[in-house]
Amino acid sequence: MKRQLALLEFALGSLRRRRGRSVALVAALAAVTGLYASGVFVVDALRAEVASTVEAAPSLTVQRLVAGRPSLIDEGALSSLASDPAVRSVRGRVWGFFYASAIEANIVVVGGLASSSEDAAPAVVGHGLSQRLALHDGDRLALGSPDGPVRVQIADVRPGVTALHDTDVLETTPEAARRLLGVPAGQVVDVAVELSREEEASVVAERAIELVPGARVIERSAMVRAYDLTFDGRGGLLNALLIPCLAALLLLGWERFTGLGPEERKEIAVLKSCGWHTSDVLTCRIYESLVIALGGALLGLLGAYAYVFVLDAPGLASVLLGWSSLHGGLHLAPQIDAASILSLLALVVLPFVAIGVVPAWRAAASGRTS
Amino acid sequence: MARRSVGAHVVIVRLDGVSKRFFDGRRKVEALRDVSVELASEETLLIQGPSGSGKSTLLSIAAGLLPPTSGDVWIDGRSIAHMRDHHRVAHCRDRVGVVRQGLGLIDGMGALENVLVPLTPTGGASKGELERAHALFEELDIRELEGADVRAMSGGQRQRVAIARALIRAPKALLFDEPTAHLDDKNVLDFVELVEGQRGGGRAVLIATHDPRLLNALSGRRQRIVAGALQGDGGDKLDEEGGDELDEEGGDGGVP
Repeated sequence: MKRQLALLEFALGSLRRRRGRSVALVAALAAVTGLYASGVFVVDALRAEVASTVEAAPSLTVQRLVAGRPSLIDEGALSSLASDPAVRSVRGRVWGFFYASAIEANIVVVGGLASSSEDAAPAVVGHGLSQRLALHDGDRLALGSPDGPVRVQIADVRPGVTALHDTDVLETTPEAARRLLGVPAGQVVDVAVELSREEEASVVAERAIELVPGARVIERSAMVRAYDLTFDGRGGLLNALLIPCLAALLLLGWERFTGLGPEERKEIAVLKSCGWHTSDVLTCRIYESLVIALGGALLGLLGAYAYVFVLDAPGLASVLLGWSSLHGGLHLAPQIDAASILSLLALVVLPFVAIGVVPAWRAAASGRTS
Repeated sequence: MARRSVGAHVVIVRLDGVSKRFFDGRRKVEALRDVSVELASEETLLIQGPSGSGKSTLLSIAAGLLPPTSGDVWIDGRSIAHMRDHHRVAHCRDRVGVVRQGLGLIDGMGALENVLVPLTPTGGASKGELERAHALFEELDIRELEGADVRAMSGGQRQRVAIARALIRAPKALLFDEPTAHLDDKNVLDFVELVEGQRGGGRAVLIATHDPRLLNALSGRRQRIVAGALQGDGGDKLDEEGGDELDEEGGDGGVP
């Protein structure tokens, strides 16, 4: 242990003596790691976002199609499904897009709160939307609808289940939602069916189609598949980002593999003539490479974290978050996948250390002492 | 083998029929040919010869830094020719100190740090070793330079730091490769005085040189090396013939 500490101290001293080169290597590694880690962080955060969204989605969503277009559906059309032992609940939903001129974007209005007799219907928004629309607790709004303004009062501002929910959803009473979205009483936009036995999904779906001819039934598993396909595409973009990173890493590695500088070569010869074993020289070299590689990789990870989760990934977000151009306000919640971080560290640190040791081993084992 | 003695002195380094060959690109170089030589305690041995004659190779082998191609090398009573590198280095580093021609100080480090470099692989300097380092700085009259960066020192000061480093493990033999190549006349004389002091302390000293100033000023046994082979007694003083063999360039070009 004492020997290892002494060698580590010597390695740190060597890095200090070659400060310019050490800083340049750390910076280059940090840049390469940071670039790739940014992509990984965005995709991981989106995957987590989508996983939460899908988790919150009903087992089955039944929509009625007329001429291929989604159409309103009678609220009680599927109530008989509730008696099915595989079904836990059947609930008609009122929701739709509402154009908010203040931000020149659509927001989602959901009629999910309990009815109220107040003259202004209560509404709940997430922190993201409250910031974008400058809404605070108690604010009253008059939202335009085909039947005249609908009054709502912000009853609460609270974090949404997901970042998308937080930035995008205004929840109010079903009555207010119906007026805002022009959905007549007795009709709903779709019907959410929760199953107690998920394996019965296809049987229940068939019954739903029997009850509502022309209905489209979306199973949660189909949503998962659709999102996976979307992210496989975005994953392809990430791989494109990986190519320049790998190229840069290879260049760095090649620079180290092809040889040592005259100063390093001289130092190794001096150490050997001072009675150092080849293994002592190599241990020092490994420590130097580890400090540089870990320093660069950790700096890159920290930079990527700040870039993605603090600065909202300017530049990269428009590529990886397709819909961000609609609202531009999506704030990704930090999601760090330990496996991603570890593989990234392994990708950067291990080859860098291994490549750095080879020329040192060649120099130390050559027997040159002058 | 039992430790060999020469009179009252103990043989510290013995090369017995040592040859060293290596490849310089495609060319096979025979750096040493059947060299036999002994270095005993309290003795100063001067190996003189022109550049490329094999002085540095002989020194490296005598220090245990290089294994011979054939022949045997004894350091402090143990044959090291067939030892594994690891064991050879461990055996020799406590017994033989080396000062290379370029001195081999690590620029950017302080003088004291340089002196302690040989102790790093064994866990750094103990309290006793640190005290020894301070004592060496005192003895070599460079006490005030302990914290100074070696880049800022004169040639003579740098040499003293290199000597302190070679002595930090209290070796029984001290080997110098062209020690005065870059020193002025005054520093050559200082160096001679310093070597005499080491000899007085019982240490064996081997100096490979082709500097006439040093050869003239320092007493001791002399051997001449030409084309990798020792050629008997080099004489007590440099003569005209010997001088003709010496060129102006320092160092052994073909020595690894």
